[in-house]
Amino acid sequence: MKKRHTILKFILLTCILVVFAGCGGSKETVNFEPDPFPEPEPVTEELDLNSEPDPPKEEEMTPKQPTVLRTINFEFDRFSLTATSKAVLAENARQLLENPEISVRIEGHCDERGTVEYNLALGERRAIVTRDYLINYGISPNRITILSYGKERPLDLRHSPDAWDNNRRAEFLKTIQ
Amino acid sequence: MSAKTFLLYILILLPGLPFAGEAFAQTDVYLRVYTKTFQRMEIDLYNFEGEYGPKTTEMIDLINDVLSNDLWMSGYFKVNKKSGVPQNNRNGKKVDTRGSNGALAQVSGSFSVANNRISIQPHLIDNASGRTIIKLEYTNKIENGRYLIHKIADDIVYSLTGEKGMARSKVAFVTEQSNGVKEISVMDYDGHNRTTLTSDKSINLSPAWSPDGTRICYTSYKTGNPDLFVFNLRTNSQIRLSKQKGLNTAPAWSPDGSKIALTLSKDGNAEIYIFEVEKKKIRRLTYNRAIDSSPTWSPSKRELAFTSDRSGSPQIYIMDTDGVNVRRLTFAGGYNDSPSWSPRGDKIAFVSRTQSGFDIYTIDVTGENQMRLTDSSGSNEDPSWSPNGFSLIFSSTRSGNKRVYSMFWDGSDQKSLTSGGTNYSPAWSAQLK
Repeated sequence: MKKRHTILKFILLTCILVVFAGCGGSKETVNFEPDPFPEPEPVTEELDLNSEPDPPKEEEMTPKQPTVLRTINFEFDRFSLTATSKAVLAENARQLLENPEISVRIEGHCDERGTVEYNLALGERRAIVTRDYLINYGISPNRITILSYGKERPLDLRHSPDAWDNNRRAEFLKTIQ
Repeated sequence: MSAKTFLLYILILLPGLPFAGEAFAQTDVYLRVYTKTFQRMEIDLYNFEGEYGPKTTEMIDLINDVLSNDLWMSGYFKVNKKSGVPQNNRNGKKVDTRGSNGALAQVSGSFSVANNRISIQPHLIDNASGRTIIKLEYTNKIENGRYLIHKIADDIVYSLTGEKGMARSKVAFVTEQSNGVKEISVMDYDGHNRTTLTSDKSINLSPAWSPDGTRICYTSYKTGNPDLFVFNLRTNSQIRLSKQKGLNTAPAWSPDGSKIALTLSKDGNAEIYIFEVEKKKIRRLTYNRAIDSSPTWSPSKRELAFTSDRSGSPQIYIMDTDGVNVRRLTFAGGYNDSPSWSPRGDKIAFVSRTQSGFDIYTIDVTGENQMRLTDSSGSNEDPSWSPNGFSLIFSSTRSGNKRVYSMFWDGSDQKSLTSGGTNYSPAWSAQLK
């Protein structure tokens, strides 16, 4: 009987200690810091859309250049646009303004590092930032859809820093309306 | 130590037992079972006797190997493989176990095969008292031999420890084919009986078990968008559970099976929601411009751990299931992700980025005792706890392509469960029957 009491006391004491230890733990409330979403960039490039181009002369008629929307790249675990990416996006935007019949799907991708789930979310952030940049250039949101593939569709199948650089990207797929 | 004393020992040391759960329903009680001084109980295992023509030796070895691995993997036992014949109590006499060298119990037995059915008769004896604990006949089709042996192991574990065995549990995982197609596969917890479940020819990700083991939830691109599907293992059929705009990812079934925590981005970016399976209602938990993803339930169902990069880099956080009381758990390292809450409640496994890639760590829910479990070349990711909380499975690139591995809670005994192909994102089911 006495032994039983000792065991019960031991259990109770352990539980109390554990509960107290839990209370004393670091229950830090985290301040929600808004993420530094990139500020909309002022349009610095003259798109020169309003001036009438001279009517082409008969003999100079060439087939219209096909639109090529170039892929942009990102830094590791980042979704902000680099200076290079912004320049490419400005050119992509110009082509989209010239070709209003074209809609695009922006696909966000990541390199192979990190979890499947986190990278799906990160790829989506990249697609969103890219879309918002195009919208700032005057592209109608109705012409753009986004899709994240996370790290599931690498462009470069190697497992190296070069491959990672190539795989952190946003691609543009043309869809004719 | 007799089996009875051992059982008492476990009752005192282990949480999650009924008395602890009810008496302290208001607060979570976390008792430490993870200690280096926890001693495995020794158990003597004799070769089973029987006759199966030219396959006799093969069958004897199969029973011996599966049983000893199951008892070892349970985390409770150290198996002494014995040759020869035990001093059996076939005549109903008490067994003389003085030569057992301190082992808690002994397992011997016999088997027979007839009409494509195997019958196994294990005999479990408590060495201290010499009493028989199990002497039963287990029968099944010969092709279910491994299952039958797992069942015997589970019964031995239960009768000696009072804890459900996990030898019949399963592992779901992603199998990647060379053309980039990713399907969901399932295997036994020891790596045997591997089958590919889906044939969607798409990208299928993040399998998660229902607690009763009948369904697996996963993300698939087969309709173009990353939507959430449920595969029913009983009917071999699947349904689409969630098709919100944007991400429908990172599902985690609640311990009672009524809810699924998941990541949706329909409101602008990745946030955590709870989906009520029966009512088909969703409730949003996080409101943050950062990424919130990869929820994992506490066994009490009252909290979720998850990944968020609200501090500027991915870190593990804990919140109540109504979205309040958010607190950061990990502070060391610039990239922590993939949380998995132990079924015992006291630890969370996660992945941290290191110089060589990624490695698996555990941390107490109080934020103390961060411990590194893997330390090898390549990346070690996707930790998922065993149903008894003593082991983990994970994926590793240490030998080239990603493979599924298992290890104990302290990082010991790391071994590969899959060979060939690329396999990852393992999810360990609950105890199954």
